[in-house]
Amino acid sequence: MSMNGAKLQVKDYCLYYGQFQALCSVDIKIPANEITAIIGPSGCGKSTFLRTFNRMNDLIPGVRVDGEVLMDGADLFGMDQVELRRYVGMVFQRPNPFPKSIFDNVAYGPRVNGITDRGQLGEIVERSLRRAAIWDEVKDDLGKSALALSGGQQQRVCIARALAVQPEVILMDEPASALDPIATLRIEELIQQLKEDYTIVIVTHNMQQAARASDFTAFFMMNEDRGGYLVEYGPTKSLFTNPKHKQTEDYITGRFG
Amino acid sequence: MAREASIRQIGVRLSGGAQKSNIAQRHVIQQLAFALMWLAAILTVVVLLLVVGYVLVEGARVVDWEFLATPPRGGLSAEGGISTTLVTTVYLVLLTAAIAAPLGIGAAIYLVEYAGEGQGTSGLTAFLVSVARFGVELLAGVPSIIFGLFGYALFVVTLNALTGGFSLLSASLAGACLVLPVIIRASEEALRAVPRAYREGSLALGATKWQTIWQVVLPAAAPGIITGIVLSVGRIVSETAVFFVTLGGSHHAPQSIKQGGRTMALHVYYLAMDTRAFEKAMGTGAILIVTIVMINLAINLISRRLTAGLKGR
Repeated sequence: MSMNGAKLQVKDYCLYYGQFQALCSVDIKIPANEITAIIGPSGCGKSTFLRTFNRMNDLIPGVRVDGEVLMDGADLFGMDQVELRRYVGMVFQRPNPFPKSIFDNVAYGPRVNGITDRGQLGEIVERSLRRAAIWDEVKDDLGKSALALSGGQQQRVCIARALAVQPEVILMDEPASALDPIATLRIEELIQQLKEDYTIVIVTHNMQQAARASDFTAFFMMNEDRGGYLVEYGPTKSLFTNPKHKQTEDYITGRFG
Repeated sequence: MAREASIRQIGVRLSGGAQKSNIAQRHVIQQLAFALMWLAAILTVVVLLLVVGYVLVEGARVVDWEFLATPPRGGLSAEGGISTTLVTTVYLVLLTAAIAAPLGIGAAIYLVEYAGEGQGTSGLTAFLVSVARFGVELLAGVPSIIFGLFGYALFVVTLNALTGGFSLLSASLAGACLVLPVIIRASEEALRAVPRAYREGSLALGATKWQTIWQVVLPAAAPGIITGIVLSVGRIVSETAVFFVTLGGSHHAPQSIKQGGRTMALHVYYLAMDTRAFEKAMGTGAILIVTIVMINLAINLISRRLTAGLKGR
């Protein structure tokens, strides 16, 4: 398997909600500057797994983890979780801009991280909006509420908002599932451009999306106890054309899920 | 024709053949019920209009600019206007809100954001939170004169040196106890209504929990919180029992927060009970009603503005 250096490395990772084991011994290496898709049936722990990397699961009471997760070789669970989230950004399933102006949405991250200079904030906002391919559409009404935009535009503002804190990894939790096909395509194009500078991990329900928009694909399933586990992981092309496991083949050919 | 016949057949089958249609009877019952409810609604409105209309019409006879701008002379004569009671009402409202709003909003933030469901609280904290919740419910049901008695005993008598006895300060502290449940409940509701997605979005950008609350959650909850504060302002304006035993009742305007006075509502009481100036009591009552109506309009306006602003319309 040819890949760049591993940006994120997961070793024998398990996650429990109280007594329930939601993820069982996951081992995976996520390469830098590539798009890694996570696919699998509903309830297999894809989103929970994604939220490991910015430790959003820590917000849920009763969650316990086992195993090791490394970012650039450093233990993720040893870092300050607030600090970590500056380096690992996230885009959510439903566009969730704050009820603030477009400018304030994008400037929010830099501001909470201590940047107050108006000129500097302006530069960051413009750069982020350009990078998220939405600058031309909103440059004349940065003062307008972000909630007044269309769903696809809102999602790109949310991507710009994530880019504004200059993360290294961007997690995307079904970022296009609430959007129409054209908006979806724009988001996919955007993700392709972003991988030059960022490591992207994307959870998707849509297998065509995984097939056309990702470099590596991880397929998750659940066992008899409804615990999620990793079935197969590899370059997207080989996983889709030549799956090594029967379950993978059944899933990608649409026999279940 | 054939279709009609078949419909009838179905009807017969559904009603088991033997049952007669009772549709006419059911329609009559429905109309009767509607008529009764309509009557109830009309009666309510009529009673309301009578009360408000009577006070406004009676009051309008004495209300003029002079009535608003002259201080009452005091004593049994009931001469003069209501200027000082207006001023006292404003002072009392501002001071009470300044005390109750930070306390109430702070308590609501704690209950929702730090001790709410899904925060994983256990043992002592969970116990304290349930006690606090119960306390808020209890406070909301306590008759206002009890707050008055409490305020008299604690603020007027015990803390006399600090509060100056019967004074604006004593009255607003007692008034704050009265409106705290209103503000806490409204703020709790408003905070709970803020979507989880906002909180997650903020945390995912590397904001601390406090930054998230202060910069995202509170602004989003502002319309509901402000509504709660304005509601409690209405409560203070119309309250008499609490202030009867804490504010003193002087017809002069207070020169400091350690001096007493009387609000418009109290003035109505004094005029009606101690003097024969019934028409002046009505006049003051009319002003009181107009004030309350304006406060309610303000609530609507503010929350609509703020909500529209948030939605970007």
